[in-house]
Amino acid sequence: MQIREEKQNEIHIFIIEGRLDSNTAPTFEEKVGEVIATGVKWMIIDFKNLEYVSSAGLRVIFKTTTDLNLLEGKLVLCSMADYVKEVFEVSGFDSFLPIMDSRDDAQKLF
Amino acid sequence: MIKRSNISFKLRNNLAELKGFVQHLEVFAQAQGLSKKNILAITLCIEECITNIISHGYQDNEEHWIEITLSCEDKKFIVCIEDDGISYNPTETAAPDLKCTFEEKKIGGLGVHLIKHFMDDIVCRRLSNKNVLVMTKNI
Repeated sequence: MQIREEKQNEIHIFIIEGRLDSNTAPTFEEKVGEVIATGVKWMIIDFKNLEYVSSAGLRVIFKTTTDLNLLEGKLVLCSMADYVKEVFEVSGFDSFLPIMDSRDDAQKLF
Repeated sequence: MIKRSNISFKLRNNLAELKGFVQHLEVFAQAQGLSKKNILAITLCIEECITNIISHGYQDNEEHWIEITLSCEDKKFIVCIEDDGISYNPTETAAPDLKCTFEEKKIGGLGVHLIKHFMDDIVCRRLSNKNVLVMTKNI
């Protein structure tokens, strides 16, 4: 999995590519933790080039949501392929996390 | 004549073994003509199952083997997973409460919930001290 990062004003954007699974989730969790430790509270995760997510990935997203909530921050997800979105929806994540179709739509939520 | 193919694997109870296995699974599934969406769904269910076995199935630090057989016949893709871990039947796991508030959300049980959603049939038996799980997806 590749992780790219961009900054848009105060929003930290992660672009993850490849697979977010039990092998790669720990690395992503570490990276996100490092960013939050620097004081970042607003985050977008862009799934445009992510082809697969498993519950290990969902757990990292859940932990990130919890951590940002504690800081009164915000997490928005965007640009998921339909089969990736299905995993989030089946798991009920769309009930507490905004999942937008595009990065532009995601940025408008901040 | 019914077209049928199958292949078997043995994995150690080590999450690192999943990566290599997934590559073999994808090659086999592609050769059987499965759609990308179905391959992803099946891969997900197997990953969830194996992760559960490795994380919760053993109470010792010994090496254990997990046997996986994949078969494709006509319009069904069948996954059979056998492990010698503690007795466990995922079909008896209660679904996570997805409608509770974020604060109450229980993240456990997600893997099983995903398996039940993406597979069309799941049967689990305990045979000779082994868990035998058979998952079927209509393709």
